[in-house]
Amino acid sequence: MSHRTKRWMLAGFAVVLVFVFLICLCVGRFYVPPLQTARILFNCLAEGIFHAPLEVTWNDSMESIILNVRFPRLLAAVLVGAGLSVSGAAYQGVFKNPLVSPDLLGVSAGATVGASLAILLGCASTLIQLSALAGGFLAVFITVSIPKLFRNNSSTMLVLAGIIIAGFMSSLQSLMKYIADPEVELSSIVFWTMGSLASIKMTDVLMVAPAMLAAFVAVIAMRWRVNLLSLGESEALSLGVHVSRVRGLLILCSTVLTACSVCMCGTIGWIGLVIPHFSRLIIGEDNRYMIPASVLLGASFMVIVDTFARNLTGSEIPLSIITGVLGTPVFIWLLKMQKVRVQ
Amino acid sequence: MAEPILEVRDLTFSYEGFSTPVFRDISFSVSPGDIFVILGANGAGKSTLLNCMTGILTQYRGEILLHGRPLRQIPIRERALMMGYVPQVAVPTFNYTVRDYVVMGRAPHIGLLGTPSEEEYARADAAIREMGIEKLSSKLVTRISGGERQQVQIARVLTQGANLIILDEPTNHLDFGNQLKILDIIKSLSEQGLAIILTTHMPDHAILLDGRIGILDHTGHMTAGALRDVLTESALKQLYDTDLRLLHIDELGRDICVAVGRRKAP
Repeated sequence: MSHRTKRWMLAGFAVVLVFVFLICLCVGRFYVPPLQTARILFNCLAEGIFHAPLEVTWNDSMESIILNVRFPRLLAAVLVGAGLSVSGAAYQGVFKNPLVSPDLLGVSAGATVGASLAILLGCASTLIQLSALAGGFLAVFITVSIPKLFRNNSSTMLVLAGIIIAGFMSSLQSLMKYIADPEVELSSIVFWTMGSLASIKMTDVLMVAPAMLAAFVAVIAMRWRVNLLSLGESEALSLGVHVSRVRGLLILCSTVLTACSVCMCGTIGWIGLVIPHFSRLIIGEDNRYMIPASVLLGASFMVIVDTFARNLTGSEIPLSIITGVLGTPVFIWLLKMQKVRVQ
Repeated sequence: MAEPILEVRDLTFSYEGFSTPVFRDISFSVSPGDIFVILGANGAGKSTLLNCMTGILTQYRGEILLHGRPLRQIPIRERALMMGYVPQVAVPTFNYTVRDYVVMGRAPHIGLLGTPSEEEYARADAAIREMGIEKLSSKLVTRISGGERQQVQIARVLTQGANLIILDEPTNHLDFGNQLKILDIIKSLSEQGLAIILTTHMPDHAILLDGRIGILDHTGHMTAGALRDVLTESALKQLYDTDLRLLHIDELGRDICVAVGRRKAP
């Protein structure tokens, strides 16, 4: 496959994302026809930028559902899906192991502890989010500090530190579940760990979007360096790559993306592992194309998953259930295609 | 004699927490066109020595000078412009095409946020032609043989544009024909004026390359010098702790090293 073909494929994935996004905006208990949806969105642009509103062919409830409910929610789904997928893709390159996920350094476990603590203390939802964000960052900070303590710079040491911290955090998490009031707090902790975008608002999205966008841009800009790091530390070093610096930057970006995702919608499994593999199968292992492909396919996948979550039954289904149920068969299929080399 | 590219002076290294050094007081230098072959038994510290020279290990005593400058003070990227490294042949974790793999050698010429341009690919293609492996260009690096992969690695180090190349056991895991092919390539690179440092387990390879030799023994001392002074029968016997002969073959006009083998009981 030539570089040119791969560029066209990326353009194709972008078109797929836009298409999936628009279709999912229309779908729901209250169906809005695609043409009306497009007009409502376009009207925002026309009114806001060119001060030339379109002729109104829709009613207020349509506009309210599209703009205040579904649009922020799907936007969050795009950010979360892309963020978790690209973190997974970057980690797999950095740690030279196709089987690692974005939780590797304990970010999800830390965020869960942060969120649970805030729930136990009876905080409001914004505080729960901030506490999750802080917990995620704190966990990764402790993880990356451990190898420094031993003056050992290898990624194996870092992975080991991640396992230790994730284990510690999950024990804290169990403790909090144990002391939580089963009627109220426990159920909201459990629900939080299964992931949901049901109560997302535009302000939540706007709070994390700038940091996430910056991290996306940085990871995509460094995507060829991920190829170099995937050769291993000593080889990358001999090619003039400042390994610890580049690795540190990529870990920082991935932590921002994962922590922001988790703080918006709780923890969601599988997506960070399955989407990078799926992208590799389609577009090849070169991170120059695989990382942008993970962004676009991860976003599309999450938008679809969230649409299932809100429409399959009368009540919301947690996202992790759907990503797990969809993700595991896909992963088995990927193994069958022998694209995941397990030795 | 030309200005040395790499100079090692009184190099001593010990791992943290160990009092006995892996090796001590090693001195040698390489100039353009030189081949320096390091022989040593398993565990004698060859890899540790290479890791010091490539800048992976920094806690050494003594001096390593690259173009007259202390190695430790040269930034990583600048170092890569002066010194290339060919690791032992191994199957990479991820699958890139040979062309995409070779172009990674241009990394020290490309910024943190950059990707290789058409011009960088043109240089990669030139190195691929020089190695005569055009046919492999679009193949995946995990789908080629060990001998081919070693040529690909050498093509990559050539695109780096450094005038010193360090190879870690470049003939390991290769069949007989491929071993000689790699030795030929190394020889022709030195004739082009590149300085070469390599490690090997085969005394014959040192003889074929006809360069200078450093023998790293069990006590951590290195005897370095010209082939005929250093590579003697007694030195090799001691190095490998085995009975062997260094025989002159008139037909070839050179020595060969052969093991005596187990003798039948009298």
